[in-house]
Amino acid sequence: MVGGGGVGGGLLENANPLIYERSGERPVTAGEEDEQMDVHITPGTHASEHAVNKQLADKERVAAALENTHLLEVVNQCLSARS
Amino acid sequence: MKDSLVLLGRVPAHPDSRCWFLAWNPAGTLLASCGGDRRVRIWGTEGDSWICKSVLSEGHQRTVRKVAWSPCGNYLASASFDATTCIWKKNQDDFECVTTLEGHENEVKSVAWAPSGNLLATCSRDKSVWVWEVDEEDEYECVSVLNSHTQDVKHVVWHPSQELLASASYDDTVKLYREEEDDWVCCATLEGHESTVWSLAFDPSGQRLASCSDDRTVRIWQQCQLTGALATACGDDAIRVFEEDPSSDPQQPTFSLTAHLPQAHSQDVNCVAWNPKERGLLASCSDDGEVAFWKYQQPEGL
Repeated sequence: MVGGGGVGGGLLENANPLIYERSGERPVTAGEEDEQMDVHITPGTHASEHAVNKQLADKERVAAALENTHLLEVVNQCLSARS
Repeated sequence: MKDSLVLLGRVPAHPDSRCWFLAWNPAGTLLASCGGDRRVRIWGTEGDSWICKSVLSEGHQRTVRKVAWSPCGNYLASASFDATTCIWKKNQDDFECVTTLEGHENEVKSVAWAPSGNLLATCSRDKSVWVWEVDEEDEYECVSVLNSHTQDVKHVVWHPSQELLASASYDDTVKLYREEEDDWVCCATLEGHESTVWSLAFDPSGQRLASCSDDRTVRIWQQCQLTGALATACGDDAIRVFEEDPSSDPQQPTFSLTAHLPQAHSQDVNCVAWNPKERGLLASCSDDGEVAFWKYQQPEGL
């Protein structure tokens, strides 16, 4: 699922794009061609289609977002290893 | 046009990641590169090849987005997605991190040194441009936080001879700043681009400013006249060089494409940089992690 990130209209425009998995779903792998991928932009979580498209087309913002996602995974792994 | 840019060599500068930016030192003898591997590398020549002379690691926790040499060539600043800017001091072939500038709320996108060497500017996704003063003891102090842009600020550059600062933004504008009565103020906004402005370059005389954008145009701004080649790095993997037509009106110049190299890299070209001393020597870097060196030959008749 892809979204503008965060909550509340104006604040979203400055976020890096938020790319995440809904909990409970397994990641789709390349071989699963017959799976349908639905991309939803949850209503009320973005300012406008143009704003979201501009963020998603900004390679630098996407790179920073992915780096954040990777860091979050590392943090989560550390936390789950400890519990 | 393909022969106008001849490949001199390639180096796998930032393996398994992207190379974001390049900067030649003022003497033209060293090239700094930075990238997604969180490192800065310094390249120099050994005979006919380019070799890595230093690796600056342990400075940043995330992507290093831009690097900038001080006018004296003894310092290098690195701007990172980790929201900090490191200042490295050169000691022969070694570099030591002497200060880390903090304050931006999120990713720092660019850093630039003023021609005097006493001022530094940084900009960030937090929409601000910061001006820092450096004193003789290498102490840095933020003297201004400029909140003129309404979105992510992508690039800052100083005028080559005046204390005039320019910034480019996701808000589609270019802004100019100067110090007026002890305060830094935004003195001009250049509108016209239809999308994010990614980068800026003054011509050597400082009379013209070039800006490039996601709208796929390069715009030349003039305040009230030099020629010189203009090189562009593009998301279509190509490098292009433009030159001003010698017979065109300096107030309404026309530019021609004098070199076009498709597939200069195997992925997006992120940066091109002219060597300040060796005429026609151009370096480029790409999402493929490589740095390439090119020789540009000005076409006859120019």
